[in-house]
Amino acid sequence: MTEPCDLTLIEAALQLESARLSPVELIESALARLEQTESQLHAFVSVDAEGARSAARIAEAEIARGDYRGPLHGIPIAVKDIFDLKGVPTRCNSRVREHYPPAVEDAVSVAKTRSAGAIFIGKTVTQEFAAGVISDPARNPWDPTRIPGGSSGGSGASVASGSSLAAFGSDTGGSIRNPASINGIVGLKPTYGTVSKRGVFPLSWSLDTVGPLGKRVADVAHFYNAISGIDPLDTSSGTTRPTDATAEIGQDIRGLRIGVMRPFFFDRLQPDVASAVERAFSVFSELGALVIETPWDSAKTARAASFVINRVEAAEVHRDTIRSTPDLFAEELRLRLESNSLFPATGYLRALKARSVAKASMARLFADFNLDAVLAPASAGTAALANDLNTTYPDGSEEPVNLAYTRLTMPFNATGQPVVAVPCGFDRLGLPIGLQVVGRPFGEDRICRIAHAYEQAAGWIERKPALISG
Amino acid sequence: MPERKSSAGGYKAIDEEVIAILAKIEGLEFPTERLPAIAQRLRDMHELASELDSVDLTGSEPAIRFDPTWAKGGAA
Repeated sequence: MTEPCDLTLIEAALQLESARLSPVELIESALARLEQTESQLHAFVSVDAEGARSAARIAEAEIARGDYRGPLHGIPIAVKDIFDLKGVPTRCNSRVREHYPPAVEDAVSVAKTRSAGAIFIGKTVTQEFAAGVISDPARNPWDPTRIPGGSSGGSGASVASGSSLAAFGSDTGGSIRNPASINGIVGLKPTYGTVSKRGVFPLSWSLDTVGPLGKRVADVAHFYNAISGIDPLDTSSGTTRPTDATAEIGQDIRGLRIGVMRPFFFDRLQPDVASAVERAFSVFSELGALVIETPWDSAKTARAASFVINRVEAAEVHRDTIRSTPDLFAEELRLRLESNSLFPATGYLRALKARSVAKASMARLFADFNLDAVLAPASAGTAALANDLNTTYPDGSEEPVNLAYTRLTMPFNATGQPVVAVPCGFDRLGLPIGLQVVGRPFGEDRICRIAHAYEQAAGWIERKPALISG
Repeated sequence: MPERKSSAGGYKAIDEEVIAILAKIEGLEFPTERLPAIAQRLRDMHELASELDSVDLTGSEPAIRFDPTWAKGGAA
């Protein structure tokens, strides 16, 4: 029998609206799953069970009297611990903020979900200040000896295991798409500037994006609709009204033109990843899309630009604390911040120029081929062992996960495009593999349509992590 | 068109002594025992950044304030 916490966000929402399911039942189910799995997953830094129960009772009464607010009403969600959640400290998994006081108000995006009736289960583990892909001590529900990716790793593990039905993540170099891929769920990195970042601790202000992780494309599309919008007080917020990401979901994809960027994105992959992604291309063709080879000659440039910008801006974000309390940083981030504090300004400006070149190149690619989207693997490898943080290739070579998990995602932080990461198979160990569907700026509606059509046809969404499937 | 000069390789000269000088300019204080690791990280960063040396950036404006919008017709 399906537990309420195993429903998708949209399935649960339909049942909640029609009173076939109570928010109290749903929250109790999510809390029970959290209780069952947390000793192995360590996905949460704090849990507010009583607060969630109280909110569920209120939501139950509201829905009963006809005040249903929409698809997030009564839904248990988790919040990455770089987002301000009123009354809870934002510690960013760092000793630097160990004694930081509770947040006095919600981040703008969190406040929007609160207004939409979402119920906060707790805050999830991130890599220190969202700068990496390991998210220790969180683990992967498909194999708890492995990492959940990151930096939104706790959010990914929580959604995949059912202790929340959706979660907040942030993506500067792949930190939504990577944990989505590694945990076998869906993640939406929105167009840069369409979701307010006020109240979210920055990693790299010109690359940072805020977005959802969920079990299905429709889940993240509805979540995105709830949190997106122009914020005049956020300097990175755009002036273009965000798209309704659900607008095209359910439409077929016959005749859509989808590009495959084979060089760079296929240069070094674990073989099971390569074959799963190739099989996915066939599904798109079978669905009637026109799959076209579209080499993008600026992919390497985009990745390098993204990397430099990310590292230099992070050094500036932490300029004061790396001087005042360097010992409080974990060694990996400390070294990164110390060394990149010495990187020359001209190198940073070259990266900003290269970013403009890469963005223009991607725009031309879409125009030249009249594309609706492009496809790429989400990660070069599947979930790595927590005690061996490398991705291994058939020739025996190894690549640190912080590179293997971001090499294929960072280019799209440079271009600022929206990307949905969607499950596209499993490796020989039963670990999930992800695919990126990349769209035009403000094209969340089109990529969600494409990813949804694939998700429904491919069938990977029926599998559940071993930890919860018994 | 003049041949573009590459800076490739210059970063390899970054050593503990260079780090100590740069740190002093930047107002950072690094314990001596940390200098080799910091030097290695900075060399790695320059090596990755050197991938941009071959990119023609003539006429391109730095994305100081990033705008994701594409102009009509696909041009950025």
